[in-house]
Amino acid sequence: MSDGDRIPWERDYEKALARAGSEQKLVLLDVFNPG
Amino acid sequence: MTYPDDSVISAMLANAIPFQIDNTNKDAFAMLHRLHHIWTPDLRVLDHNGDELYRWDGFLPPAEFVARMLCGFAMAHLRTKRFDAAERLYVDVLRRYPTTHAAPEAQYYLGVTRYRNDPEGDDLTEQWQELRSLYPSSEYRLKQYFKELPQ
Repeated sequence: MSDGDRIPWERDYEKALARAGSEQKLVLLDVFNPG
Repeated sequence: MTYPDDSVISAMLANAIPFQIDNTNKDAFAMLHRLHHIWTPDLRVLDHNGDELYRWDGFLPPAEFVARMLCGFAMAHLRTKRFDAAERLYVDVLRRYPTTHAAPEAQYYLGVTRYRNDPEGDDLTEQWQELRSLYPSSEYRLKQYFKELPQ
C-alpha cells in the first residue's frame, strides 16, 4: 500500500515517536512490502 | 488506491504521525522481529512511548480504511483514558461511516467509552441498544449478548 501516495511518511522510528510527543498525536505504523 | 485518497490522508494526518517500514529492508529486520510482523499491510497504532495500542492488517479500500483507522485511534485514546478524544472519534465513525465493517466496533466502544468516563450514566445500555438495532449480525452484538439474557 505505498502506491504513489502523498503521505509524508517518517522513516526514522525515534523521530516519529518524538514528533508524536511534541505534536500530541499518535503514531500510525505501516509495515509494507514494496513488491 | 487507499493512500492517495484525500479522506485517508486528512484523517491520518489529523491524528497521527505516519511512520513506514519496508519489510524487505534488512536494517529493519530486528524491529520487525520485535513486532512479530507476519503480513502486509501491517498497521499499528502506537503512543509516543512506542507502546502498541491497536493493530490490524490486510488491504482495505478508502472508506473502510478510514473507519478502521479512526477506531484504532479511538481505542488508543480509550486505553490511555482520554475519553473525550475517544468519544469524538467513535462518533465520527458512526456519523460518516455507518455502513462500514468497523462501525459496530465504534458503536460498542462508544458505550464503553461513555461508561468508563461516567459509570453512573446510562450510555452503555443506550449504545448497546443501538448496536442491537443497527448491527444485529455483528460480532459486537454477541459481545453484549449477556445483556439480552433474562436477569
